[in-house]
Amino acid sequence: MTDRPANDVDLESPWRRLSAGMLLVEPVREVIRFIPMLLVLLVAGATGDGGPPWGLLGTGLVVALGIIRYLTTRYRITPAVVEIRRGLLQRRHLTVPRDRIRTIDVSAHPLQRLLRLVRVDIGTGSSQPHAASVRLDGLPAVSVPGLRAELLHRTTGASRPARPAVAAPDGAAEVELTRLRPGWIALAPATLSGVVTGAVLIGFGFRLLYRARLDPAELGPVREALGFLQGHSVWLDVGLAAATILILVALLSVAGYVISYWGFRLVRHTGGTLQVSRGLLTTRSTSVAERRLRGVQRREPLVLRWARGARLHAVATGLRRTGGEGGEGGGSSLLMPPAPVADVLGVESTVLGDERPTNAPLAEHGPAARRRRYTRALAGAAGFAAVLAALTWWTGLPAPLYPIWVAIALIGALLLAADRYRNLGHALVDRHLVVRLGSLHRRRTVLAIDGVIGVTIRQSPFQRRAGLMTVIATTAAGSQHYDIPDLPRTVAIDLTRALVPASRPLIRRRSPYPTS
Amino acid sequence: MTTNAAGDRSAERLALRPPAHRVSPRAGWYWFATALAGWLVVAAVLVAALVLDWPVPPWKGPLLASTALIASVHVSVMPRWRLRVHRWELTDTAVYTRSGWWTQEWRIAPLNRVQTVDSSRGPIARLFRLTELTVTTASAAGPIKIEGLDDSVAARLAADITAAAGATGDDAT
Repeated sequence: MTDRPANDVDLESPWRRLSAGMLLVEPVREVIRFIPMLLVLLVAGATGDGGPPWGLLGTGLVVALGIIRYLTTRYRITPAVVEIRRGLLQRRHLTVPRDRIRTIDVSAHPLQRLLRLVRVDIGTGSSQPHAASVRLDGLPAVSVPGLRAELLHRTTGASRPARPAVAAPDGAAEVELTRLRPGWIALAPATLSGVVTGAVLIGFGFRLLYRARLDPAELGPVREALGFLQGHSVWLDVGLAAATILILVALLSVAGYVISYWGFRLVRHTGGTLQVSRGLLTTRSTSVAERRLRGVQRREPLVLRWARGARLHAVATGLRRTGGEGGEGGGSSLLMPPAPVADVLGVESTVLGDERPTNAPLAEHGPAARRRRYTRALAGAAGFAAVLAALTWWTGLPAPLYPIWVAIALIGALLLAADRYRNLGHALVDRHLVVRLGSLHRRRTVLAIDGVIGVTIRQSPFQRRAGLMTVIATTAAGSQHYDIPDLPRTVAIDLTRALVPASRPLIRRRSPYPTS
Repeated sequence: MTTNAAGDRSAERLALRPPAHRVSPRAGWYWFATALAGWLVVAAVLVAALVLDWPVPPWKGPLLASTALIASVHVSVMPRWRLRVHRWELTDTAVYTRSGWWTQEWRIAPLNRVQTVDSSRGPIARLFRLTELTVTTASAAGPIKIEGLDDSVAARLAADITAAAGATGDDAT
């Protein structure tokens, strides 16, 4: 992304505007966003607060800004670059060389879908977290297949004219790797995504009640429920509450799953891109150039793992790092929503084009690494016990419960340590580094060695005593670095040699026998 | 090239040799000064808390004593320890550094992946005529920092790295 004057640019490509439909979409969307506030105002009575209606003013301002943004934005696509001009007071002219484009992310919220508009985010290889995003909010949906082919598939000879608005989708040029099966939705409760949604909903509900100056205990159904609970034993109450929460979380998780992943498809275009489409209300489709795909990451949070499910993410350069509305951070885009492990493994092999990295047995890191897992977990439990002891001492928590809590923490720590060691492992397979680590959030990363930029080796004094090192492979893709913790020294250095050939002259052999 | 569990201790033992060059001896004083400056800020906060009679730390004596102890150990031990650890080297193919004190780090960046070389001099570093070089790659996690270089050494090194890195292309993005 440079601001250089484009001298090799086809000057005849016309500057275009975003679609005029955005003039309708933006205000309507802002008004809809304002509806919860309106609700509060209605319930509380418009005069209740007395202050000026900041919310309304804000909405007006946002609408005005949206219209200005539409009026001032121009873009054009030439054979060499994508250019965007925008801004009223501070004018910006963004030029992206076409060969720097790594990903294209197309999304459309329901309003945009009504008008057949999309938002296009163009991802470049920049690792700078604050790099200006290349976003065209409000292109006609029909232009997308052509745009995608034009920008990513690189079928272009440099002379071919860029005409994003007309190219036809050639349906034969794609292979569907997988699509959502209804059975997968059964895994939704295991993702626990409903916990967050539930918390947000409850928070919002309380805020609404607070703004409306209502006491929840006075609402009819709540009062009845409380009355019912008071008539029974404590344990029954606790059981009922737990069951209610579980069911609620499960339902919310299923709803969240369906909203996020409905219509999920993973498609490989012969032009050399992988495309993920999904979404019930807001549709989203992300294209990643396979040349820029450096690997995949399989994520298996504990509960999902118990349900024999997993998710799959791409490790690629140029993916949005903050995740945005999609909510997937860490610079990697989803390749598979939570799905049965067998399906995930199949897709993983297909995407990598090789099933060896997927199925490779991993080398354990040895007894010292195992000891370290236990020491760290037990140190955590000891810390917990100390804090709890202090709390019991000062605030008078019930002392008889203390040994029980400590016992639970100890057992949990031991189980955690055992699982963490069981999961810890790495392998070098066919020019790929495979690393698996973690317990509560287990992840197994396959990273192409071609994508490894450099290596950092880290050693704390504790590791030094145990003869261990942590090897960190840095890369421009995904989360920028992938750690292989607690390797025995010789293994660590051997691995470094394999990851970065330039390190070879820095490594020396020592005699296995102590020098006398 | 497969790596085996726990290392084949009988076969061979590998070690990274230390990078060839030490940083400037004045770097010790630089680290001493920066650490001291940091602790002076902490001391100022503590003194302010005492003078204004904030109730936040209920045990003032032990707090002051332990802070003073930690600060004096840090200020006296850390610079010397760093001087022993911090080293750098430019090989034909890579930039190679060792840094840290409590936790130590070896960093290797192949020259063909180097994107930029920045040199910076903070106000304290300038007092000691020292420069910090930052060698960045396309990975946000991978910048290599070489602190405490003599100004002239840093200038020459920056030029050498830039020249060597300019030779090749692919930055693996």
